[in-house]
Amino acid sequence: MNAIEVKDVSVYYGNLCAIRDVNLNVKEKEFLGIIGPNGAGKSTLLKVILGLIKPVSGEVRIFGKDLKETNKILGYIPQTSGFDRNFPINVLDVVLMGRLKNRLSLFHRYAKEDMEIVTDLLDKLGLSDVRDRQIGQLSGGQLQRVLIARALAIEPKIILLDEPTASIDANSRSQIYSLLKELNEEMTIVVVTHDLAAVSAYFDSIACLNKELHYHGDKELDEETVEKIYGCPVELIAHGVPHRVFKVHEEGYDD
Amino acid sequence: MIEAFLQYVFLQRAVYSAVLASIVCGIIGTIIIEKKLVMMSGGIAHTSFGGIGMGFFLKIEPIIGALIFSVLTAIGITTVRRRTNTNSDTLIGIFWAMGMALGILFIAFTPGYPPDISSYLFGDILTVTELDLKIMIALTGLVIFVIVALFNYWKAYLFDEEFSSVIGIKTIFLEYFLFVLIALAIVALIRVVGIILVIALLTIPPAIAKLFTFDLKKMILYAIFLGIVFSFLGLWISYQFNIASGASIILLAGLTYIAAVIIKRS
Ligand SMILES: Nc1ncnc2c1ncn2[C@@H]1O[C@H](COP(=O)(O)OP(=O)(O)O)[C@@H](O)[C@H]1O
Ligand SMILES: [Mg+2]
Repeated sequence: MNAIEVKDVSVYYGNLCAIRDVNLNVKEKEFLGIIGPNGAGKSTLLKVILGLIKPVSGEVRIFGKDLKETNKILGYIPQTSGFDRNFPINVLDVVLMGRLKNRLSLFHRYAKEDMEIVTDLLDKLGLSDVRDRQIGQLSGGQLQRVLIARALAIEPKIILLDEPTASIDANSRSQIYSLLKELNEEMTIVVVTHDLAAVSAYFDSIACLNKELHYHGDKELDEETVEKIYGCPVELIAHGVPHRVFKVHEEGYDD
Repeated sequence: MIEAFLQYVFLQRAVYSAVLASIVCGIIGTIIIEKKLVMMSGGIAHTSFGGIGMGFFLKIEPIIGALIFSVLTAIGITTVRRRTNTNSDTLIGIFWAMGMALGILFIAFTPGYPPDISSYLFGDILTVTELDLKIMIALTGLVIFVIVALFNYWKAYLFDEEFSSVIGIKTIFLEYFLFVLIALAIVALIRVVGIILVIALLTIPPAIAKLFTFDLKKMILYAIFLGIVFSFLGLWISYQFNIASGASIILLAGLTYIAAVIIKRS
């Protein structure tokens, strides 16, 4: 069964078409990377899958069901956190949020089980020492791990990450990808990324989006597809994207 | 002042309403600061002036008119903002001015002597009536119950709306609910500090509290405490020197904020 089915989805912001007629099936336990230039609609696609944006046409099914019928199956790590880093809240409370039920109940308290799950996650992500720290006082990498912990606290079947390693150092980056690889044994993982090195090392498959979905399949991409998506592959490759991702090795692009 | 307190009912009412106002301000003020709804709240407060005018015109209790107007404004702004692309700043500005204009119009058409509106604009805690106090008790009780009972959800909603909707929390419901609560809180505060000054009493105590804590619950509690201190001292100044309570409370709070920032910096 497909974990995610995106059928003929188009999204407009006013008159601006963000994505057009996108079809994408993500298999259960697939580790998928979505690449594409800035403004290609990658974040938009994730938000449609999450139900945060209603598409103009088309539909999204999660494990064959309408998103409304699924309950806390999706975890999400946004590209730009929409929250204020000065908000008076500490790491523990942020991660606990993932344990909230969707039905409002009066005088809700987190159960012992919730605490255990969250404590485990904080351990696993190396955040135990900062659990009482206000979130504004974390490094970029720590904050990113807090957001990952919060998404995992949902105990989701699918996890969507939007450029999770864009603003952090190489060390935290490989830490995060190893963790994802480990989680991949249980979960379907979709990552929007520009990090093609990571794609080749960890991912199963790749999807190329530039308004339309140009490619979805094996991560070993051919040159032609990349050119079609990015328009100007030379420039992109010159910016340090490793060649080994591409099947057709182009000697001429060495910088 | 203690003997006077025991002797005069109006002073007792003033003290009770100061405590109630401080509780409401601590809770709602913290929320509007963290959710960046300060201007929105100012807009609701000013629009309620239309309701006060309507109250005089129709010979119903002005505070009831204010209640109706502020709740409708809160719902109105939320709905228009969701349906259209209008910037909420613009919307707030429109509601703000229209509410005031309506109030003036109603008062102009009210037969007889023009009513004393300055106690609604600037607040006069010493003239709080029995009915005002009852309304304040009911509204404060409601605000406390709703915030405490759903505290974890409010925290999630205030901190990260997007994530809250990803986990299936009905954020639209919470948004409407919150705006109505803000409207109710403002009405509860009008008699104490008035329409024009209410925004200061809502924002200053939590702003000072935020300098000293990183915890939402503590921020609310500190803000309530500060609110009580400011309103008691302000009340005392107001009683001693016979000046409007709203002005003395706000000036005291504002000066304390400046002092707190300076102390914190050094
Ligand atoms: N909330 C929004 N309102 C209007 N336009 C938007 C909004 N979000 C994104 N866009 C536009 O939609 C297009 C796709 O954006 P996005 O999905 O963020 O791309 P990506 O994540 O691939 O960089 C861009 O042209 C962007 O400017
Ligand atoms: Mg993006």
